[in-house]
Amino acid sequence: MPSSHVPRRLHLAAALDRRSVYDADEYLAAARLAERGTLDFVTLDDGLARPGPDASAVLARVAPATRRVGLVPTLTTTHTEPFHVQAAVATLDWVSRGRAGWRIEVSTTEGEARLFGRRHAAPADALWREAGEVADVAARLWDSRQDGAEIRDVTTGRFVDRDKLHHVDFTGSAFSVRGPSLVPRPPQGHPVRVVDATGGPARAVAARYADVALVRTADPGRAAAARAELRASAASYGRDPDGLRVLAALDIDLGSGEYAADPGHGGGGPRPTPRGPLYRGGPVDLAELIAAWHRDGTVDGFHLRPVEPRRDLERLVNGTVSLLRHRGLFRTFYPGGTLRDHLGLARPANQYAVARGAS
Amino acid sequence: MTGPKRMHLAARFPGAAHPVVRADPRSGPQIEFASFEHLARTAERGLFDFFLLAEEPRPGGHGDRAHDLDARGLNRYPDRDAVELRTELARYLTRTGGHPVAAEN
Repeated sequence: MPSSHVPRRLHLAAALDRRSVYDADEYLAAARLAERGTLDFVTLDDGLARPGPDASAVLARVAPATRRVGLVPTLTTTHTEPFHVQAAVATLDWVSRGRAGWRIEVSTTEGEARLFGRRHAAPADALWREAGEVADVAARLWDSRQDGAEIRDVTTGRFVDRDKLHHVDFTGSAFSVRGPSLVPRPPQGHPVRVVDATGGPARAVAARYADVALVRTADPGRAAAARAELRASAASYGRDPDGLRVLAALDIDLGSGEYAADPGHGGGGPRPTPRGPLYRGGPVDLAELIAAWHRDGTVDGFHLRPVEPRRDLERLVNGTVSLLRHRGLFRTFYPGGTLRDHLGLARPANQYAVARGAS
Repeated sequence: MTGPKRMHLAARFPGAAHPVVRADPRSGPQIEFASFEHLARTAERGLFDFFLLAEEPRPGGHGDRAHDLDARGLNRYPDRDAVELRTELARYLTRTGGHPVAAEN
C-alpha cells in the first residue's frame, strides 16, 4: 500500500534486444527513440549461450551519443571475473556521466560452462549465491576509491591520497578480491543494480542488493505479492524498502491494433506464455493497463520487451507514452541527469567513508 | 623495391606517471571520455594509424600500505576499461574517417 498521498512516480524501461544484429547503429537509434520517450532506462541482454556483440561495449558506444536515458547491460557473474565486471560497469557509468546500470545474471548451462572450461555447470542456488557475492563486492570496489581520492598535488608530487584508497579484502564461496579498484568511484556512487527476481534464488539476491527488481508475471495479484515480499525482505536485510523499485516485466506485441486483440488480451491484460507474460494489443490499451497497475500500487513501473523491436518500441513511445504523459502519469522531460535521479534513488554514501567518520 | 617504405605512426594516451600529466594543470582529467576523444581526434587529424589506450592493472604498495609518492605505485592513474573506451572511440573514427573501425583496431 502506498505510504503517502503523493502519487508514486511511474517508471518505464524497454529492452533493446535484437536477433542477429551486430552493427551498433540500430541499437543507438533505438536508445535515442527510448530517450525521446523519456524512459528511465534501456536494457541490452547478454549471455554466453548466444552469439552477438558484447552488451556493455555496445552501450558504451551509445553513451556519448545520448544524454539522459539510463543504460543497463546484462553481465553474467558466472565464469566471469568480479573485478573486471565491476570495472566495466564503473567505466560505463563514467562514459555515460552517471547513467549506467547492471543487470546481474547467471549462466546455468553445461554448454556455457564448456565455453570457459574452468568448471562444470552448477545449480541455480549456488550460482545466485555467487551472484550475490559479486553484487556485494562490486559495491565495495566502487567505494574502494573514495570521491576526491585523486589530489594531483604538484608540490609534493602526490597524485592520490592513499588514505582514500581501501582494500576490500573480500572472500566469497568461489572467489576472493583484495582491491582497491582501478576505476575512480563512479558518478552515481553505485551504478544501478537490476535483478530479475522472478525465481526464488534470484529474489533473495534482489531483495538484498538490487536497486531495481524485475518480476515476470501476467497476474497483477502475483506482481503485487512479489513486490510486497521483496520490500519486506529488503527491510529484513536492514535496507529501506523505498530504495527498491519493482517493475513488472512483460513482452509486448503492439502489432494487432486496438480492436484486433484476442479476448483476454488488450484491455483484458497480459497472458502467460511459454516465453513469459505477453501483452498483445494496441498502444492505447497498454497505456490503460500500465495506468491501472500503477494506480492500484501493484508495481512501481514496467520493463517492456518488444516482440518486434523495430515496430513495437516506436508504438510504445509514440502511442503508449504519449497517452500516459497526456494523462499526467509519466514525465515529459528528465528533471535529473543520472539514472538514479530518474528512479528517485539517492546517491549512496561510501561505506568506507562512513566507517571512518570522514567525508 | 618499388617505392619508399610507408611510415606508420601511433599515439598512446599518456599514463599517470607522465611528467606533463602530473605537473601541468592544463592536462585534462584522465577519466573523462572527452580526454580520450580529444587525443584520438588529434591523432586522426594527423592520419595516425591507430590510437593506443593501455591499461595499468597493477597498483603497487608495501604490505597493506599503498604508495602515494612513488609514480609506479598505487598513485598511478586509475585504470579505465580499455575495451569500452576503444569501442566508443571506434564510433567516432568510423563516423569521421569514413572507414569502419572496430575496437580491435
